[in-house]
Amino acid sequence: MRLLLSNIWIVEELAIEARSLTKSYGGARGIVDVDLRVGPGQVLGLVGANGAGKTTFMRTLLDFVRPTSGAVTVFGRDSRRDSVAVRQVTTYLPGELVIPPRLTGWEALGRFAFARAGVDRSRVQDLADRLDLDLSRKVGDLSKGNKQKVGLVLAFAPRSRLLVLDEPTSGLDPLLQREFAALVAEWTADGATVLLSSHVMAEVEQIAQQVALMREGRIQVVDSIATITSQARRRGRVTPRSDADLSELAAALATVPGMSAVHVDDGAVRFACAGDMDAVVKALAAWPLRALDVAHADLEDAFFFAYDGPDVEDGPAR
Amino acid sequence: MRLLGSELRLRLVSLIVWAVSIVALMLLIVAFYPSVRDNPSLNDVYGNLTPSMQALLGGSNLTSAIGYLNTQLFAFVLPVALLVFGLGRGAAAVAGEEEERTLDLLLAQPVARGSAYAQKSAALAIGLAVLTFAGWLPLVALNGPVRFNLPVDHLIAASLQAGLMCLGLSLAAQAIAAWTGRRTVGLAAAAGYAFASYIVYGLSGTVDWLAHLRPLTIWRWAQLNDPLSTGYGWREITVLTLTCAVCVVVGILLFQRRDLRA
Repeated sequence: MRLLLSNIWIVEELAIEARSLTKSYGGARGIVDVDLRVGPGQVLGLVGANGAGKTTFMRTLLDFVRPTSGAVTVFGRDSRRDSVAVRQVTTYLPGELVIPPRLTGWEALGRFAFARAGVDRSRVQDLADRLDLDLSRKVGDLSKGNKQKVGLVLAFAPRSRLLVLDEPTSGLDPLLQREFAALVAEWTADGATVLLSSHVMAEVEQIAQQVALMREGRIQVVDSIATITSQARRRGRVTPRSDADLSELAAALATVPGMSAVHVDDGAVRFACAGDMDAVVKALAAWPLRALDVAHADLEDAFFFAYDGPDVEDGPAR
Repeated sequence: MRLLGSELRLRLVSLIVWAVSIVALMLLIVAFYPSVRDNPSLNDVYGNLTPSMQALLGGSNLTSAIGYLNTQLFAFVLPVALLVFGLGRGAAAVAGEEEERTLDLLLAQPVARGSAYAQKSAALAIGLAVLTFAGWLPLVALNGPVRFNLPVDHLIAASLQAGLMCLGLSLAAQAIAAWTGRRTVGLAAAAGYAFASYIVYGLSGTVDWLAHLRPLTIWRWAQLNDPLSTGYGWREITVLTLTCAVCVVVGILLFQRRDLRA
């Protein structure tokens, strides 16, 4: 039975598989040697600074950009050879969404989803209602957030197997960001796979199971959110009852594995620790303490860690 | 084919405005013919020009129907009107969308790049066909009343060759713009060639060494057989049609090879 199951798993196609994907433009932009596997039904968040290669990766997948070497497949179809088949099952929301301003929302759908099967009017209307969007208005008269909603309708309405969303929530207010998260959850529950890029770490943490950090065209880290945050530094602050203990306490903390940025500050010792908290607690056991604060290790911190390395001077405990 | 429908729908109003303007322009020019016809002294105006100037202007006989239509219409005004429309549309077809950043959204759909390109070419061809027809209509309608008295198929031949020439140039503009991703490059290259070859063709009758270059000018294939007097020039029509086809095929090949700009 186990064997059978594992065989089935092997047969099941990956939604996205990039192998040594490289796109060089000669300059700094582009992507280098990207290996990435995204299983069906997953949400992968692509994060990184501007110019890190997130958009280039997405545009390569859609065959707007041709790889210099390597390849990327979507449900087993090559982005280059079977580009139409790839786009048959993929919808895309560009990071810089431009819709001709003289079109209404409905006309925009006619223009940019005419080749899509299964975009029926009632489904589009439902989606527009959920996003509180009036599709009969001209796009040019819409606010930035409402324009973005037209883009979201274009991406979500066809119920495609893969949604490639470049900065999907830019311009949306927090309420709609929540609605967006709900849409992603529903669509993936139905089996859709979502690749999204974002600057907003908190959003990726909320929506994605997997996250890939890109930096200068390379994938720096790719792992589940849980794993990344478990490896992240937790920032902490310990306040002994007596100020006399401060320097000794700091010295003891500094010997804990994974410890960094230990310093004395205003009657407390601040630290950042990437290892198990257990060792920290045990090291502190010898002193009477007034307070111990350890911050929740969020993705943002994990990324600053991956970006900057362990030896950066830290700010206050978060 | 659904992109073609979308393209036509999107620009239907503008095409109607263009067609009405062309009809009006043609009516104006045709309506002037009776007063020119009855005023033979006007022939002196062109007759006193140097042969090269006459050649550039399309002839010297203003008062005959054929001379009038050639000089006042087919040698310059009609092609220019069609080219203003066609070159602009051609250059914008792909490169315009790329510059305006709407191309990503369009090509994210399951349509092959080559097919999208070809459907945009087809939309351009249909637009020019409509305008060429709009230009031909007043000629036929007033053929009797203003006493052109030309065979209808000669009027068709002249319009068809002019339309095909403009289509070829517009498709070249589309190809070059799509290749470079820049509308102005396509526009400038095609307009530059159209103008240069207009001069070369016009002067080739009087300047010996330019006669060798004549086959390279697209105007030769629209005009040398004088379709108003002789009717369809099948060799000319074939060359013009092949030029259009080559422009589309080359355009597709060039456009398919490159990365789209973000």
